[in-house]
Amino acid sequence: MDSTKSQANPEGLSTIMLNSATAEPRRWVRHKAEARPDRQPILVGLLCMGLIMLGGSGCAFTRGDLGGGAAFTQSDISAIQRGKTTEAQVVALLGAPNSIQSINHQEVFHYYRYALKHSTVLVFSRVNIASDDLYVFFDDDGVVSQVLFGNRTKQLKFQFWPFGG
Amino acid sequence: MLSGWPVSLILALGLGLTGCGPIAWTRVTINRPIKPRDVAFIVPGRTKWDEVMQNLGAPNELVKAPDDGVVAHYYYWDSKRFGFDLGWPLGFFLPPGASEAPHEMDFGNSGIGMDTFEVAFDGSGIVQYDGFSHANAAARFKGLPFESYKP
Repeated sequence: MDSTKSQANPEGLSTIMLNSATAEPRRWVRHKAEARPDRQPILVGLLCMGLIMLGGSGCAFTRGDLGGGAAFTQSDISAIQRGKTTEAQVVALLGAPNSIQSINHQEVFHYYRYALKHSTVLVFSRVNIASDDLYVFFDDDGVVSQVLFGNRTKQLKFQFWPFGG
Repeated sequence: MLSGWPVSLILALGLGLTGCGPIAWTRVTINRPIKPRDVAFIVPGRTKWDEVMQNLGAPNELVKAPDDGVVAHYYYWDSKRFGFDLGWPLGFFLPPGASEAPHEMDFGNSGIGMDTFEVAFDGSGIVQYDGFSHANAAARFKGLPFESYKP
């Protein structure tokens, strides 16, 4: 610091006057500082508190899976063939279904998995959850007649911004 | 498919366990919303099961209808919470020891909404009707817990 700044510094306000060569702004700052001598520590304290509040919230990224077994793989899905694969083969491949339904005189195995991605940045948090649903329809002979697969977890993203869509 | 109370519990836990700072905006969603333009191709009485499944993918739930038909449900859950702890700054001013004592004063307000898109098919796989539940309005960021929900 040069001498000009150190003269202007008894109140700890030198940053405002760093490159000011004229006396006018210095007087203005002194005047303000003298008028409210106790304001600055409070402001600094509030500023620090705000920074700690923001920084203390920290960041976190978490991933989780919900549901039975591992995620469906493309080879699992393509191994189930219409008119060929039987109920027993589907169970051997994917395990017991999460639910069994009877729809339109057809037996339907329903498998589902959930995936979760959570992000926290400062004071904003967002948890995105998506499901993969696999339906396997069987005819009267217990052979696969239709396979329906909805893969939503591949579009799952880490997001921290909770506003908007 | 998880539905009803289990999903509500997951959402509530998600809202409660995240964003534990002195002030927090938290949002938990399950699946992505289906928009009206995504389902504009569906014409009741004409559109077939295969077309719907091809465009929207497998539904979250299939429910048997009484007339040999089936109803497909696509779920979107959205929950939002805003909360702040008025007692948190006291930790900076309380004397050592006293600052370890509980001094939280939490205020929060959360809402959970569920929007369902529903398509009903008859026994031959033709769409009978389709529609949104429009029940997602409860999910919004609100200020104080004393404010009640007004749709």
